[in-house]
Amino acid sequence: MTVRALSPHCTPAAALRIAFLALTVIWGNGVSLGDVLEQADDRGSVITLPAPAMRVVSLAPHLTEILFDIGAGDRLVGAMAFSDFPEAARLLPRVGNYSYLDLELILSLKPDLILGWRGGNRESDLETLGNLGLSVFETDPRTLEDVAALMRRLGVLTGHLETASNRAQQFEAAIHRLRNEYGSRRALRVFYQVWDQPIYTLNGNHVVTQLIEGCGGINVFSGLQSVSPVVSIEAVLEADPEVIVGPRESDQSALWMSRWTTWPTVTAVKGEQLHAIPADLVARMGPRLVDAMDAMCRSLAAARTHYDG
Amino acid sequence: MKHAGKNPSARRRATLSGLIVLVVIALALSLTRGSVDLSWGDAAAALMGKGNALASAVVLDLRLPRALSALVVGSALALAGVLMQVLLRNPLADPYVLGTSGGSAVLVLIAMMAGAPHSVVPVAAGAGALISMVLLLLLARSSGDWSSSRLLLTGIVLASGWGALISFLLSVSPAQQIQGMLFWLMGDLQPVTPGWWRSGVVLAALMLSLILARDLNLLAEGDLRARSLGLRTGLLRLAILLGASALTAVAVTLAGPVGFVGLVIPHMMRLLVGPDHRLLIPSSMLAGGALLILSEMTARILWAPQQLPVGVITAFIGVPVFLLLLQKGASRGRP
Repeated sequence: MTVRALSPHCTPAAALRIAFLALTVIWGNGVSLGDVLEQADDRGSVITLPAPAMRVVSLAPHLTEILFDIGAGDRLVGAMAFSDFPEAARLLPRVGNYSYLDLELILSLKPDLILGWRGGNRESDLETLGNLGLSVFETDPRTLEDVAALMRRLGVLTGHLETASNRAQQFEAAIHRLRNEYGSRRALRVFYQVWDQPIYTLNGNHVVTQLIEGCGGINVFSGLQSVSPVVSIEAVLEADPEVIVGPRESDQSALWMSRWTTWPTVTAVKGEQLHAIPADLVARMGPRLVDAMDAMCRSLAAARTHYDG
Repeated sequence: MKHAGKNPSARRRATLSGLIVLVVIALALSLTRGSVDLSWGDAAAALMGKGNALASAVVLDLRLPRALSALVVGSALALAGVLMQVLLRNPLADPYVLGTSGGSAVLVLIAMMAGAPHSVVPVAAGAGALISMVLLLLLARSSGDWSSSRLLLTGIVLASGWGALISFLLSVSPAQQIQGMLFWLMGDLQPVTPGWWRSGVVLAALMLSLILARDLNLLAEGDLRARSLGLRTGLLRLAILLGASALTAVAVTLAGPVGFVGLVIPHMMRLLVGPDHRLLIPSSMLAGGALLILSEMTARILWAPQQLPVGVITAFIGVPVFLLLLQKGASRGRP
C-alpha cells in the first residue's frame, strides 16, 4: 500500500526499505527501526523522525481533518485557511491559504513535521520549507484507497497507528458497504457540477468519479483531459445527464439549480433530478468522503426511484 | 535646467553615495519587517551568524535572499528601461508596458509546460524578450521615424497579445501547476537567492553600458546626429537590444513580469541627475533596486499575514506616474 503511492523516481534500495516498512505496518507494530520513524511520502523521499511528531503544521484542510480523525488533532500547531472541521480546527493559527504560505510564521511555530499537499501547495514553497531543514511530508491522495492509506501513514508519523488503523478500517468498510448496496444498480448518467459560472466539472481522475461509480452512476465527463475542465452548456445538453449533482454551500444551491430550469431538454432538468451535496465533503480528500459518498448514493437512489418507479 | 556651477564629479559622488545609503536602509528595513517580529539587533546578530535559530533562519534563509533578488530585479528592470528609452527614443518605453516581459513570460511558460530542464528556462526567457522587442521594432517603424503613439500602441497591443497567449496556456495546462504560475505572472518574489548568472548578467550590462554611456548620450540625441559624429549606430542598437532582452530575462525568471520599474525610476532619476547616461545608469539601477526592495517589503506587510504579489505594488506606483507622463507629453506636443 505504501509502495503503490511511490513516484517512479524511487531507487530500488529505497523501494526495498519501503517494502519492509510496509510489512511492518501490516504487522501492526508501527515502523520503529531503533525508535526512529520512517515513512515514504508521495514524492518518493523518505521522512525520518526521531520520535512521533509533536508539533505538526497541516497545509490543507483535509490533512487537518485526517489528523483530528485519527486522534492526533492535539499535535497540530498550525493549519491552512478554511480548516474549519472539526470545530477545534478553527482555533489553530492560520499559516496561509491557496495562494501563499507564511513561511516565517511556519518557522516560528517550530514544527517537527509539515504535512504538504501537492495538489494545493506551491512546489517552490514546499521546497523552501525542506531547505530550511524542516521535515516536509508531501501527500498526493487521489483515490478513496489513498485516503485510507494516508490515515495509516499519518498514524505512524504521529504515533497514533492503532486509532488510525481502526479509523481507516471503518472508512474502508463504510465505502465497501455503500458500493455493495448501490454499485450494481441501474447505471445513471450523472453530471457533477463544481461551479456554475463558468461551469466546472471533474474528470475521471478525480475522486468524485469514484463516488459516482460506487453509487452506480456514470460521470458523463469522466473522459475529459483536464482534471477540472470548464464545459459549455451545449456539452451538457449533448451529454444529457439524468442527474445533476452540484454543491450545497450555505444558501447558494438554489441559485445554480434555478439557472438550469431554462434547459428542460436535459433529462435531469425535466425530471427535476438536481441534487446538492455539501461542497466541502466532496472537495476534501479526508474521512468525510464517506459522508459525501453516502449523500451521492442517496441522491442517485432518489433519481432512480423517480425514473424507474 | 543645467546643474552647472558646482563641481560635477563631486555632485556625482554625492548622488551615488546617497542612493547607496538608500539601498542599505531599504535592505535593513526589509530584514527587520515581517510576520516574525525581529529587532534591528536580532537581525544584525543573525547576519553576523550569532542570532538564535529562528532569527537566523528567518533573516538568512527567507528575508535576505528575497531582498537580494529584489535588488537584482529592480536594477535589471531600471537599466532595461533606460536602454529601451534610448533605443526607441521614447521616455515611456518599459519592458512591461511594451510587452517584452510578456513575451519572455510566454516562452518561460511554454518551456516549463514542455518539461524543459531548469537550465533551458533562462534561455527561453531571453529568447521571448528578444522576439518581442524585434517584433516591436519591425511593427512600429514607420518610414524610419519613431512615432510615439504608434510605438506605444504597438507595444501595448503586443503586450495584450502575450497576455492572451498566457491565458490560453494556463487554460490548457494541467490544473496542478496553475496556482503557482498565476502568482508568478503577477510578479512575485520567492525567497531564493538571485544566483550567479543573473547577478553576472546585471553587472556585465552595467559595465558595458557605462563604457558606452557617451555613445548612448549621442544616440539619445538622434540617429542622424549620432551617425554624423561617426557612431556605428547599427551595432550600438543591436547591443542595446540584446542587453535589454537579457536584463528582462533576468527579471522575469526571478520574479515574473514586474511592471513599471523601468518606467518610473529612469524618469525620476532624469529629474534628479539630468540626462547624462554616465550618471543616469548607475543611479537608476540603485534607485530601482531600492524601490523593489521596499515594494517587496510592503507587499509582505501591507496585508499581513497575506502576502501580495510585488507586481501589484509597483503597478500602484507605476500606473499614475505613466498617466501623468502621458498627460505632460500630450500638452507639450510629444512625450
